[in-house]
Amino acid sequence: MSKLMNNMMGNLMGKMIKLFLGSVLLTLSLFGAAHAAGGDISGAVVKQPLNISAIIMFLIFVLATLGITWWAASKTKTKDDFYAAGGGITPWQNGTAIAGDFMSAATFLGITGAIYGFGFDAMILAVGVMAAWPVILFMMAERIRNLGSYTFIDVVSYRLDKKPIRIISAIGSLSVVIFYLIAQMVGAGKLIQLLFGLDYVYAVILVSFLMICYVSFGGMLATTWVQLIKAVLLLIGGTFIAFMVMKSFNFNVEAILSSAVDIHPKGAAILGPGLWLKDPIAIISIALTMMFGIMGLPHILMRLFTVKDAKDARKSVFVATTLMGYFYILIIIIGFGAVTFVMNNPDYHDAAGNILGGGNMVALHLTQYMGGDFMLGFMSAVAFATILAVVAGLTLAGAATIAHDLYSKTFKKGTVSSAEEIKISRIATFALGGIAVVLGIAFEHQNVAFVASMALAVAASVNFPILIMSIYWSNMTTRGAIAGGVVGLILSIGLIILGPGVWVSVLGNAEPIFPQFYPTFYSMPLAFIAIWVFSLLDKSAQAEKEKALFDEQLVRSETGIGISGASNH
Amino acid sequence: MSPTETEKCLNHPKFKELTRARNRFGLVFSLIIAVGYAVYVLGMSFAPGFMSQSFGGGSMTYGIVIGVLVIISGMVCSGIYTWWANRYFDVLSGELRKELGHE
Repeated sequence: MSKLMNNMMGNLMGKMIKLFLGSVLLTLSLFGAAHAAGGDISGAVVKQPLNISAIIMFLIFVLATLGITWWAASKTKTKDDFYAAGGGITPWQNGTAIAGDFMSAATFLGITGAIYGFGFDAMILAVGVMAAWPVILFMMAERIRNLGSYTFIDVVSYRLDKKPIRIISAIGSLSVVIFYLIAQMVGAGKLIQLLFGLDYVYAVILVSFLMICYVSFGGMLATTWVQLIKAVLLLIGGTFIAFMVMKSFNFNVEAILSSAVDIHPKGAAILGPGLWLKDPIAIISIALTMMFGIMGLPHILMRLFTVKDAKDARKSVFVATTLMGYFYILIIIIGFGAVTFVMNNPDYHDAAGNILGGGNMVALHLTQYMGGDFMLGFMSAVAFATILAVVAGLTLAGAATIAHDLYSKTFKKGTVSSAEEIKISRIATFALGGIAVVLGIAFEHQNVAFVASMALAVAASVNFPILIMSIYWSNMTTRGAIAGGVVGLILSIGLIILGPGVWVSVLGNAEPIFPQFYPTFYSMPLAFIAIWVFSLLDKSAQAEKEKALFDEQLVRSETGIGISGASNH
Repeated sequence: MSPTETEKCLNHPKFKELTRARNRFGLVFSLIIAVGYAVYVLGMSFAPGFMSQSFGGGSMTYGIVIGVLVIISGMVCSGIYTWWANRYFDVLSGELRKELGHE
């Protein structure tokens, strides 16, 4: 256990950097900002000795959140409570929870590691997020709140033929949830192995067990509080580390960068493009995936229904955007600052010169340097809490899609009682928890970077086009929406399989058939074109009916007239 | 909502004012963000030399400045939109609902 990574080849500095970059590239690149723990996927994980302060703080977090779950369970009586916390969350709480739902351990550990390794190029993972959220606020949040009740699928099915549109959107939604869950579970297992010295299998089971507790007993209310508390802890920790970095340089940003350039083997190249993303299509593809993938994430969109009206949805997204913008600026400071304090520090490297625990540990090494073992324990516990908050949000979104969109609305045509729907949701939660464990274990030794990229790519190529067109384009018909969804789904998943992420890394072929990691550059525009063409070609009577309903939808989306009341919607 | 009610709302001057103003507002702000992001992404793609150039003579580069500006403008525009919507759109929307007999 103490002999860290003795199986790794240790050579010169250059080789070590290459290895490091390789592992970070595969994890982070593709984990994107939104993704999980991003454990070091290339097999460099070795269990760490027990970190007592981390375990104590983690236990406090678990006890507190289980206490909240117990309280939330007593307040969760109807399906409104279960899916949307009865619409009774305040904008501040919801905004903080949205930030907690979205910022995964990859934001803190992953992007920090990527900026440490690649410098400027990795900043796109932060900038892309901040390009998405304001647009969600300006164009989507209020209208989504006015049109739906629990999931974004309510919105897209508002005036279209309920059965087919719910099925195709549910496939999109569940694909995102499951791909995202796999990435989270594998990342979580490896991270916990690293931080707490727990076996991978137990780590995965523990995460799944806690997530099932939160979601199945406490529903949206418990999930909200887990996300909220974790967001606050993450912000406190990030602020502390960034402040200490700034203080070490007398609050001179220029000095942080100059020092990083002096120490980093790539020198001044880390402050400009080119170390990670090599060609324009790769850059534009990841830029599109980040920005539009976020706009199609079911677990994020679901949070918009937890507040009482469109006004509160707007305020929530504003709070979330501000908190995330602040945190991403901290991350940039932390990432460049880490170069100075971690890169040449023998305490954080093994005898061969490899960084202890792999690239994702950079942020935690810096934490240890700045705040000692206590802060390290705190941030490790926060990293674990982060994973739990994100998987809980995902599982709840998946359970809502299965129980509400598929079971109740599609197959039983809305005849299901509230109690029965909650029961189905709980069964779905257990099932998703089980699937997460099985897939988490199955993928332990796989390169899962592609799984995470699939989640965002499917969100950008299936969910987002259908959602935005259903809100704004009066001529979209069911046929058009289905065509767009199918094209987006097949292209996004198909091109990833033919690309370097699966065709080369997983299947072992020499050359990818599709050269790019992210398919979004092609799959998203083609999904839009399919929606457009098939809607215009659709001359059916059903299509006319759907177009005629747009006026009513427009009135509701703009004014909120007709939305169900605050706490009893 | 009945078709006549929908019709009534659609033709209401306040509805027109509200949707026109809000759509324009949302679109302009979205464009600001999109253009900023496009400059950053296209700069990375097609003008890496410019993005690596020193900003102000030191280590700071144009690329980093533009990236951080996109983040900050996202926060600022969100703030302005929310502030304005709370003060203007919500009042208008409230009046509209009252005049249409809801609430």
